[in-house]
This record gives sequence, C-alpha cells and structure tokens, in this order.
Amino acid sequence: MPNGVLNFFKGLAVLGCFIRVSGRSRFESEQMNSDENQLFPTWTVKVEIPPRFQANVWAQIAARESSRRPLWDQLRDWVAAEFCKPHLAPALVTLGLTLSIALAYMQAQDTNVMKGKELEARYLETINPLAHMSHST
Amino acid sequence: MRRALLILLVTAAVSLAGYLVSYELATRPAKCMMEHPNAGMVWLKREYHLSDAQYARIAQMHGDYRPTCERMCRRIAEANAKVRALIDSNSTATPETEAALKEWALLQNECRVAMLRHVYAVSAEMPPEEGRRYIKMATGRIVSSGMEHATLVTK
Repeated sequence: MPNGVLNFFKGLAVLGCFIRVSGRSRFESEQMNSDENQLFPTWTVKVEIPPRFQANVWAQIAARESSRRPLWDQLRDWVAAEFCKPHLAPALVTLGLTLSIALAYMQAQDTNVMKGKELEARYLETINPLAHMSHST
Repeated sequence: MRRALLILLVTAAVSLAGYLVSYELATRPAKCMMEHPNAGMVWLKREYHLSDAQYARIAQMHGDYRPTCERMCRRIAEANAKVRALIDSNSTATPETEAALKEWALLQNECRVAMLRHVYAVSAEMPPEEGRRYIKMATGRIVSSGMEHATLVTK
C-alpha cells in the first residue's frame, strides 16, 4: 500500500477519535452543570477565622511599616502605646518615686559626710590654738 | 500620646517631689547642727554618742579650757609676728631670729601639750570605744595642723 493512502486512513482515524471525544465531553459537562445547579442552593460557606486574626493582621502591617520608619517615630509610638495602659501608670509612678527617694538618700549621705567633716573641723578649731591661728591668719 | 505624656509628667513631678522631700528630711539634722551657735560641741555629742551627763561634763571642761586656748592663740600670734619681722628685716639668720624661732617652736609644743591634755581629759569622759576614736581623730589633727602652721612662717 502506498504511503499516501496509508496516511489518508491514519488521518481519518484521528478525526474520528476527535469527534467522538468532543461529543462525549460536551455531554458530560452539560450533565455536570445540571448537577451543580441542584447543589448550589444547598451549599454554604463555612469559614473559620483563626483567633486574633484581625489583631495579627494589624500587627504584621505595623511591623512592616515600623521597619521602614525612623527610630524616633517608633519610640514615640511605643511610648504612646505602652504608657497609656491603665495598669502601667501606678507602677511607673511607684518606680519613679522609689528611685528618686533612693537617689536622694544616697546624695544626702554624701552631704552629711561633708557636713560632718566641716563640723569636726569647727570643733577642732575650738580646742586647737594652732588650727585657730592658721584660720585667722 | 497626650495621655502617655500626662503619665510621664505626673511620674516626673512625683519623683521630683519625692527626691526633694527625702533629701530635705535626710539632711535636716546636719543643717540644724551647722546653724547652731555651738555647732562643734553639738556635733561632738552626736558623733560620739554622749549622754546628757557626759555632754555636760565635757562642755564644762571645754569652757574651762577656752581661756587657756585663747591665751595660747594670742601668744602664738605674737610669736608669729616677731619671727616674721625678724625674717623680713634680716638677710641672714641672726641670733635674734634663731632665738625667736626656738621660742616659737617651744610655744607650739606647749600648745600641743595643752591640747593633748584636754583631749585625754575629754576622752576619759566618753565610753571607752568612743574615747579611743576621739583621741585618734583629735591627735591626728594635732600633727597635721602643726605642719600646716609651720608653713605659715614661710609664706
């Protein structure tokens, strides 16, 4: 059999297969569409949002924004956010007061030591004529 | 932000007030002593933990010693002036200058001995441990004040 005739029959066979396949798929898709149309009214979307989803989203947005912002702005926002917390204010005031009292007592100790030395010198002046003379000269 | 600033301001104000009040309270006794007309003796009572009776006896001894101390002061002033005048009026060490310096040194020694006697007498009125501490403090200054005073003549 010559090659041209053989190729003709091969082409016919391929065309027949294509017509068969396309006809069947169109039929099946029509059938599926009708099934879906029946299912659609019964279908409900059940979406479960993870806990703190919104807060996490805002936190991620803030983190991305903060990485691009100047340090001063970040600090200001941190102060604004942290220092507004109601439970933090008394703690902050207590801490400040404690530290200031401790600092005051430490500095007062130094002052008292200095004044003590001065008073000691004053006493010695009253009993030591030589020291008295050195001050009066 | 405004609320945060308010909290910070309140914290700063409370801390400052706490600091000032604490400092004032802690330094008030020393300030009161400094303003006292007899500050040295008040300091002695407090520093060496003297009872009222001990303080009264030491104050009496201090009062008795005061004329001696003042007399010594006058004599030292005179000796100083004499030595100064002799040093200024001569270009070499004359016998008069040498005698005046000897007299000046003797006078200083006399002052130290008088003070040492007073110091020992005062310490005897104190509790033993405080007495030892007092002697250490007072005699340490006897030597150092003498050294300071010796430099006066060269000024």
